[in-house]
Amino acid sequence: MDGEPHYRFPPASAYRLNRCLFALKSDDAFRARFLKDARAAMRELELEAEDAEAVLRADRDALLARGAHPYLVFMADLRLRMEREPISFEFF
Amino acid sequence: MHDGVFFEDNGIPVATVISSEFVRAARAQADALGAADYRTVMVAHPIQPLTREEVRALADGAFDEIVRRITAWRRCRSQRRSRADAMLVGAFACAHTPQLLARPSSEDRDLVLRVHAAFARVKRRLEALRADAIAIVAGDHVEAFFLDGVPALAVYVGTECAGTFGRYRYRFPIHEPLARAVVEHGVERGFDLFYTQRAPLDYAFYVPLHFTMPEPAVPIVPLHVNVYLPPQPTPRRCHDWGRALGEILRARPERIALMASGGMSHFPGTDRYASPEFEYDRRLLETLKAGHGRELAAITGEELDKMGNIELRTWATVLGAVGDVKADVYCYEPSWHHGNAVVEWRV
Amino acid sequence: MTEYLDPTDSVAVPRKTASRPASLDGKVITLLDISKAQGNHLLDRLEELLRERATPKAIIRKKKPTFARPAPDALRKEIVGATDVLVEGLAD
Repeated sequence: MDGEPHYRFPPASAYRLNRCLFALKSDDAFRARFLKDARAAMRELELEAEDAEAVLRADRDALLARGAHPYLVFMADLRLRMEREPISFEFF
Repeated sequence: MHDGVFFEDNGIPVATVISSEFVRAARAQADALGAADYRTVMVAHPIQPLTREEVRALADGAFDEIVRRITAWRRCRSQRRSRADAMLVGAFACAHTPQLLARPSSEDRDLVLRVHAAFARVKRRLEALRADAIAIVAGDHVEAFFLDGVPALAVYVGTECAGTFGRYRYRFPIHEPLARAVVEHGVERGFDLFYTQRAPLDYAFYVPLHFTMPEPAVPIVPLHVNVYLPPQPTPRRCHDWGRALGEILRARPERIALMASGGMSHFPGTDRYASPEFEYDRRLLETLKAGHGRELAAITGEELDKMGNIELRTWATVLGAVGDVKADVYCYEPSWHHGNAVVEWRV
Repeated sequence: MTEYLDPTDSVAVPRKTASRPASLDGKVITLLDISKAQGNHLLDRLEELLRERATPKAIIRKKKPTFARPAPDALRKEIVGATDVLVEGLAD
């Protein structure tokens, strides 16, 4: 990892993938649709098959290798986990 | 709506809490009553299937907005005051770590409370300084700006700005004359600024304001710096923008506080998440305490990335405005994943 | 002398809403339940938060007989006479 930036220019080829992760992070309605039927939701965003598989597996290494932005991978995963197994928070 | 409008007509400030499902009906009723501008506080729908705890959580999320709906804001004054009053009155830097706002059990409670105490000091300072407005510099977390359009430096110039972060919903009035002055004078000074009247406001703006907004509340001017989507503006460029911003703000009639949101070292989404560069942060804070903020301008973007401090571009901006003032570090609290700092520069 | 602004105003447009107090400290706050299901839970939590985070003079709980109609005159008069500010909910 030495020498490689942590955050890199997202390759244009990964636009749809990043769009999906962004929607999982920030679009409550899309996330709900994804949780009901992930493949259908990803079809809405025209994800390529390999990108869709990487999302379904929540395979972080594969997602990053395919050009996903690390922050979007992180937050999409967190938001999905929060829906699946409610994490308890103390709110201020 | 009938009751709300009735009470307002009779001198009682009202906050009407509705679910988003009800918005259209509320608007129609308000229009029919000749109260077209009547606004409500919205929580997520549906309500019926929620548990009692979930409904209670909606109250937590809406609390700030409810209070702001029934209390006053300081007017956006732009009358000229005496020269002595026309100034940048304060400058601060605040962490915006989400765990400070919504603490999971993995986050050390005492640490979080210590950071809160530092935020409370900032709030008291803003009140003592009698700030009329807060210009807050933060980096969008790929929320307002996706890859469809990536501004380097942006100014929010609408009448208000709003956003959501989990259960929190927030809305702030924007100091319109000030926001407009920033973008107009910024462009005159050679900064090709992006402006928006509509973009949502990222949580990086909200978290510090949640804790530090003075009472009575004041309007804000959100200033975005691209920190997450390379290629980001260089620290040098951010510092130069900050210098121009400082000059613009000092020429204004309002008492303005400048705040950098973000930092310090953290590596979300990377292998370094559990090992930030705390020593680097501490050394940098010593540099700032000595009044050598301009050294941050000379740091490369690569070094910021390496040190988990891409967000310090917002600090570089504020440092451009404050110059050689020595930093007063209210706290540096390193959690397992984030160096939380709260700093003031007494300008 | 400081002037205060109603946040429901846009800065440019004058409005006829009630003027707001600078803070809730020392104020009487009425929480009006409009009688839709679950609203009481929201108002219960609001009451707790208001007591924790502000220092109101009093918090009064009131309830409309039905959500389907405006509050009865007697209730409206009572509230106007007693309160400084009002929060009503939860309309769904």
